[in-house]
Amino acid sequence: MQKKLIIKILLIVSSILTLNAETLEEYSALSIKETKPGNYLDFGVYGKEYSIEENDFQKELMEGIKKFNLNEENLKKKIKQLVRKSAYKTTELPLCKKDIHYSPEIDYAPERTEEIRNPEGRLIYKKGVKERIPLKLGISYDICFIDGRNNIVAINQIEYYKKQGDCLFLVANKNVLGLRKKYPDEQIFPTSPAQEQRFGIECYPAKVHLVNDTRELFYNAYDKFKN
Amino acid sequence: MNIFTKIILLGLLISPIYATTPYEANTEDGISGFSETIPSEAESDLTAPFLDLFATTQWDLFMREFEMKMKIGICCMPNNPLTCAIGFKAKMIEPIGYMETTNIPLYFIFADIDLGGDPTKGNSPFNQSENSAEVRTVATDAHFIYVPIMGMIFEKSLKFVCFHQGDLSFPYMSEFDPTWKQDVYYGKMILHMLQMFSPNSLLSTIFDCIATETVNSIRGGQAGDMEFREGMEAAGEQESLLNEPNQSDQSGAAPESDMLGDIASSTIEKMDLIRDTMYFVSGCSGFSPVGGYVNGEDALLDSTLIFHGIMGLMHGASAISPKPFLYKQTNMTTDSTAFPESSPARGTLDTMCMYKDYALPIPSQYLLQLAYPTVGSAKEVGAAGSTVSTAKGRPGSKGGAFTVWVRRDYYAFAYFCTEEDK
Repeated sequence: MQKKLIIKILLIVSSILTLNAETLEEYSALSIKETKPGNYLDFGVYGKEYSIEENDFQKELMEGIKKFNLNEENLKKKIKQLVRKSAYKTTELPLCKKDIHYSPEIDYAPERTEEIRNPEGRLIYKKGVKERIPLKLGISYDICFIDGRNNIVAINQIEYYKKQGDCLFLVANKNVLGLRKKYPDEQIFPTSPAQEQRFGIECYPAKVHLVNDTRELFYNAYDKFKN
Repeated sequence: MNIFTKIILLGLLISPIYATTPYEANTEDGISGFSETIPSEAESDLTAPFLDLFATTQWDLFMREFEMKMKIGICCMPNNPLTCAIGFKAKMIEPIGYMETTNIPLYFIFADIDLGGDPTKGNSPFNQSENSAEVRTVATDAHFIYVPIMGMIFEKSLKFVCFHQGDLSFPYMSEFDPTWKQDVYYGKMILHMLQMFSPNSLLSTIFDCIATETVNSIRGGQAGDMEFREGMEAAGEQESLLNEPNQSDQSGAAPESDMLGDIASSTIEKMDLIRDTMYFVSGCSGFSPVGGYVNGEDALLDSTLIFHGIMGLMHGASAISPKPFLYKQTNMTTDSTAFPESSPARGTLDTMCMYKDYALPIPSQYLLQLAYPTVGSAKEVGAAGSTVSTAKGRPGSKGGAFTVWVRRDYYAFAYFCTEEDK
């Protein structure tokens, strides 16, 4: 009796499994069909519908781009303006009143005010540490800070420093593009506070002479170049 | 074998379990992963990407990467509870401008405007020939042009998305950077990049390449199905690169939500940590170009490498400006357990409420999308792909231009978007 009961149970279980297998197969086939948009079933609308108040993103994008109104002439003017702004930099430093020469000292980079860590947390740059990067042996490098508020005086400054050797010219108060046309073989760039601070410049015009890990500062009286 | 065992075996034979055929994503079109085709020899009419925004920008990238979840966060300014707001965890991506390289000084590819600049001393000469295999265009100058296009278009609407705001500007022009092509001066001005150049760091290039390509492959499926177009339409026609939302459905491709599962997200996170840790390497392109020096063999590849260098200058400091222009605004690639509690740098880890200064380049935060000489799909910074040979027929004689896309992780509705919000 017990055996018969167990057999019946097993038969029922196996038939359930068989049924489920068929159902599973049908379900799988149905799932595959249902994932194709063409076979979606529309079950109608239930509940309250709400309209979408936001505009279609693509339409808004297209209309926005049309409104840009990109006039080539205006764009060219704007670009010229921006280039002029980049080519002309001013300085807050005063003009030098006399010639001063400071003897060579160690060239330290400005102390970093914040530490730098990479995403793994490794310290790349420590806060407050004075860093010095020496040049290779035998190499020297000159940087000449020029004040260009007066065209003739600016040219005189460039001619003066050119005689002393190659120099990287950093110009304040003048558009460097004009100077580049006049001196195509010279490296002429606009100055910046970052560069002034880096080398400890206090007035214009000045020259920084870098050798090994030292820097030597030369200040020249501005009035000297007026003649 | 007893009767019970026989019945069980019989039951198993009667009830076959049909393995579900795994759904195969349609790879013919739709989201199929990154693919490139070499375009035809036909000359492109495309000359100024900015003047044909619709055709040259991969707008659907914004919709694909924009995501908002029902995870709440609170943003407050320190010691000022009145500034607190509740937001939802979100992420987005937007184009913020162009990165272009050119062998003609003061020539702006993005707008096809030539101001007739003179080459500065030290720039390399270049040779060109009609045979694209012999093109050796040395990109001598690079520009980063800031154009927050979406912020300009959606100035009043979609404020919760927090697009970049502002007007056209040139935060970086190599013509006015004295450290450009001046390695001695570069070494004196920008120190932290040089400190990573060591024999050990050579090995890093391999890991960074693998990590970048892995991320690009996973995300490449979500970057859209743009391919290098064969014969771009004239600028006058507005061929939309914005896929209709239901197009991918009609092709039978798997729904987007299935593309980035938990495993893929976790992989991307780990790979991005590697990429950002090796900030001095640009994926498979090599070391970040110190001072703009590239080998000059492939103009487009050099462009992507140069972007990495410029990105570093704009995140950290440059000779032009001590103030950064680009910030950390993604939250996923820092190992918070490695930062000491006392380290001020720990404060830069969480950028869900506001962007933060971060002096090192963050490759995982950006995508580069080729916009000139032809149009291509967006790629992770450092991923291989955009080369002169893939733009065959359009060797990019004037240079190359990429649309720069930047990601942001943030709490929508609570993020301190601008200085005024703080």
